[in-house]
Amino acid sequence: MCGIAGIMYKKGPGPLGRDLLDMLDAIKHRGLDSTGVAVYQHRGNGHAGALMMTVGLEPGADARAAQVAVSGVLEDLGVASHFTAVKGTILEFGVAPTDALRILSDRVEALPGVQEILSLGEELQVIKDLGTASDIDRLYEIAKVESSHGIGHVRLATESCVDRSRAHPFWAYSFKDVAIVHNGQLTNYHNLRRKFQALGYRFRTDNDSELIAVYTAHYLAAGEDLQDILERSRGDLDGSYTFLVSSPHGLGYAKDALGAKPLVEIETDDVVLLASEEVALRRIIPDEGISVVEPAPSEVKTWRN
Amino acid sequence: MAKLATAGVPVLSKGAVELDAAAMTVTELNERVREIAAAGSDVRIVNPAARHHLVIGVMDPVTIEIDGTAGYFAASLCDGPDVHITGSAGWSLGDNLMQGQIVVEKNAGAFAGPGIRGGTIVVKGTAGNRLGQVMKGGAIIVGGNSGFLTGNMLINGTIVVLGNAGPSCGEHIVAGTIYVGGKIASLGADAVEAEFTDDDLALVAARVAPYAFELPGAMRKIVSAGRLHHYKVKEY
Repeated sequence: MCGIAGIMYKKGPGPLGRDLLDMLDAIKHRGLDSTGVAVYQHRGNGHAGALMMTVGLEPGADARAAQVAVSGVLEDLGVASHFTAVKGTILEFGVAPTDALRILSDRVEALPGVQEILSLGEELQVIKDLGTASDIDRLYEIAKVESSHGIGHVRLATESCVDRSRAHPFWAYSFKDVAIVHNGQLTNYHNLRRKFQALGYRFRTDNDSELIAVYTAHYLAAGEDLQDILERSRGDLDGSYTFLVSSPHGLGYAKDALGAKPLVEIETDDVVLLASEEVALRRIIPDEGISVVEPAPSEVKTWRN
Repeated sequence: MAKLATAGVPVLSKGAVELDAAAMTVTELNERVREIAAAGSDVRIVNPAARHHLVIGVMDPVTIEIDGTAGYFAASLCDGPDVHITGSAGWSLGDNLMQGQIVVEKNAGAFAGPGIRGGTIVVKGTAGNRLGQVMKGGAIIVGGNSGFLTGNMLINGTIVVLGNAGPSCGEHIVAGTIYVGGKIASLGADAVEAEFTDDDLALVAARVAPYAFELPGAMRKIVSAGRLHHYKVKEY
């Protein structure tokens, strides 16, 4: 069992960090192992196409040494860095646009002390760690984030171990700006993983949720839009699942044909709220005059910002 | 059973004790509800905010109102109370109900009435997937539509859906009856349609009458074909 949540403000940025954490806190009983969020913000700081690279460090790693090492890789690849910061066990780098995302990712992840790149994108930042919503907020000040949309997850580990790498959200390694959160199991994970590995994709974990991120990124790269990809997923992904997917342009959900994993939604003129349970939605909109909808099995839906 | 208003709503007595769900933990709330019920008083719960496990294990025939929406497992493991939920209910409403009734003014999520052995659950709006899964007795009445796998592995009892039923209605049904007033997306394994007789009409009419539902012009009756399950000992 895991819990998922998503928010999109329709009329511009809102208190995304605070609201996402509040929703995740409301469903923390669905998973106390780890918590994470994926948020979308324009981060150019005057640098057109600039990327945010978020790097997770190994427990006990020397953050300053890792920061210097990553900066060395960027310099070596000729990728300018506009800023860098340390938050808890995460390094942030604002870097110039580059087409060499795979090379950059591989080089950074090979550095001592670096656990993994948590996200890379023009707008996407993934922050995740062990513990609850309040735990990760203490380390990373997520509640301060003002943004248009994002997704979050609380994890109860079932099929792979408890660590940050297997926490959600997942991004599609070396594909910028795509993130997913997932509650469920994919029963054809190994078949699909082999298929995408044969296409050159790298999987960094044994977590089936990572596959959804790769799957989404693959078809986005092929030019499909999010709605088409989610509709396609109903035929391709087998198992019991509900997942949310997000990109800079919006977010969406897909539910499996068995309808065994929960999802409820509220949509108003101002906001879209998605969560595993209504108790999370009511943290944001207590007014029960605003109805909650439970999507049917096999239903998919997207919103564009 | 509590006195019923015209629309089947259990009515609280004047001496009902009000509890604020926002002011206590769910465990504390349920302990207070059971204490008050054991003393014979009715209970009104305000500010439920879709919290889970509200009104669990109440064994006394009192009336309890949840003023708003309840989360998962609302009014579960109960034997006797009449529970009125003025909003909606989350998954697994009334799990293992033995006696009494639960009336939900709006909608219920998936797994409403799992494994109930008696009593009546009424959902005035729509019900989600797996309505009445492995239910062993009693009745569930839905004013609107029900989802996928209605009456999944139904073992005994009566399910009445006045609207439409989703795909695989009556999947692996063992015994009991499902009545559907609208369309049935598809029948499940071992589910067959039987003739809807005057006796069935009388039974359904009696079931829904207290709740002021209008009966559809025609209804369909789904039962087990008896091909897949052969129990020598029946515990129901």
